[in-house]
Amino acid sequence: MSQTRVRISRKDVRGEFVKRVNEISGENVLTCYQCGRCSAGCPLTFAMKELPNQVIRLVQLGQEEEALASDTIWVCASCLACHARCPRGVDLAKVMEALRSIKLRPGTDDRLKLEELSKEMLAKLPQQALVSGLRKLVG
Amino acid sequence: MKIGYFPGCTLKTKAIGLDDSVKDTARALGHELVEVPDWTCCGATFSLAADNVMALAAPVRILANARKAGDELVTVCAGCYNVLKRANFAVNADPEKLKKINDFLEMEYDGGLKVLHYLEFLRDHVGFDKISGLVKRDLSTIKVAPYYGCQMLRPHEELAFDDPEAPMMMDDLLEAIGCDVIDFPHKVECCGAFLTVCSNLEARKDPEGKAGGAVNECSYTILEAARRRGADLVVLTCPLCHYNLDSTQPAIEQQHFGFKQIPIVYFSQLLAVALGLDQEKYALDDKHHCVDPSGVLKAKVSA
Repeated sequence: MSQTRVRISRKDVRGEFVKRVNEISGENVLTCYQCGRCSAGCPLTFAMKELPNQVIRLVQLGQEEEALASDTIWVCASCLACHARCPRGVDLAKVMEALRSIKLRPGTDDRLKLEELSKEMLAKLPQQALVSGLRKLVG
Repeated sequence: MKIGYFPGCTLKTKAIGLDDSVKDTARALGHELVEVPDWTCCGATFSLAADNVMALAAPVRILANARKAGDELVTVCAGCYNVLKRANFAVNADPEKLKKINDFLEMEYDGGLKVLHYLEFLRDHVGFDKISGLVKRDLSTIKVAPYYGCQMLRPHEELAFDDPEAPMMMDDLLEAIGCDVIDFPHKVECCGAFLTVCSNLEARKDPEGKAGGAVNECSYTILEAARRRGADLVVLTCPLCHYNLDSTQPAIEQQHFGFKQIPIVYFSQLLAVALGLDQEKYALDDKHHCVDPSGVLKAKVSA
């Protein structure tokens, strides 16, 4: 993240991308003041390259390509620990869901295909895991 | 007293011990849980996209059917509780959404149902004190670590189940039935939830293999914290947490030197044991567990 060079213009910062994320999520990402409590409490940061607050920052700055390319949006398990602790009341899990939705809704970029799950896994997994996994990872 | 009950899909298959122990313990305490007619899967996860009204159709249909029979609905799977209660909150907060879904379903749900977790039902309709008086078996030498996870605690504004950072409801019940309850710092930490479906896709999707192995790491952190406090069992209410915390243990043992396996059980299974019900009936065996809980129960439960 520290090596990422970002070119910012007023057009990006107040552009369509921020509006779209806010609309799908029902949140206002611009209220986040980057304190980092979300990332401090997130149980999954060990598997992330960009921390949750850094993804929010990318959205705030209108950096659509970088935000949507971040693996963090697929590592987020929607546990809402971040939301419970956010002093600004931002529901980050909703923002992550909005970013996943932007990727998934065209229907061409599914993150999980049923045929990729082995028979062993399908026999072993509880229904709850399959249904929620498919809802989170398939458009 | 008869009260509506929504088991959910996993309780009829993988978590059959949860379903059976909930129904039988309710009966032993003088209540009958009656399944909601014509129920379907609730959707397993609440859609976090504000513009996704379609995802509310399944849970609201369940609520509407339950409403015909009464004012309250009991559920026990943490996922179902989260989805049903949040869907109920969403339609109550937005009458237009409720009308849209009612029109779509051709039903008339008024939003008036109260969704209760079985723990809340036991506390409010039975009373932990009364349960304490009905205990038949001595569990006092079993050290149990209550694990709540995410789904029944957060978001607190909508679920209002218990303190989202320091819940005590399951602790209180386990104490009431005579267990030696231990506190541990990871009782509200996420187990990785649905990421478990990615666990065999890790190599292709993620060159560093981190996302796929995430559930193992999350589970290890939780289990190790419980083990360090001396827990014999981890106790929970969610079939997905159960699967993640139970099935990952052989792999965790390979990855982390010194890790020791710890059985995972549902609180209602322990309640059934405490009330003197037939222990054999509630899937407390190696067929339904990767880490068999029967050894601990045999060694520590006296009649």
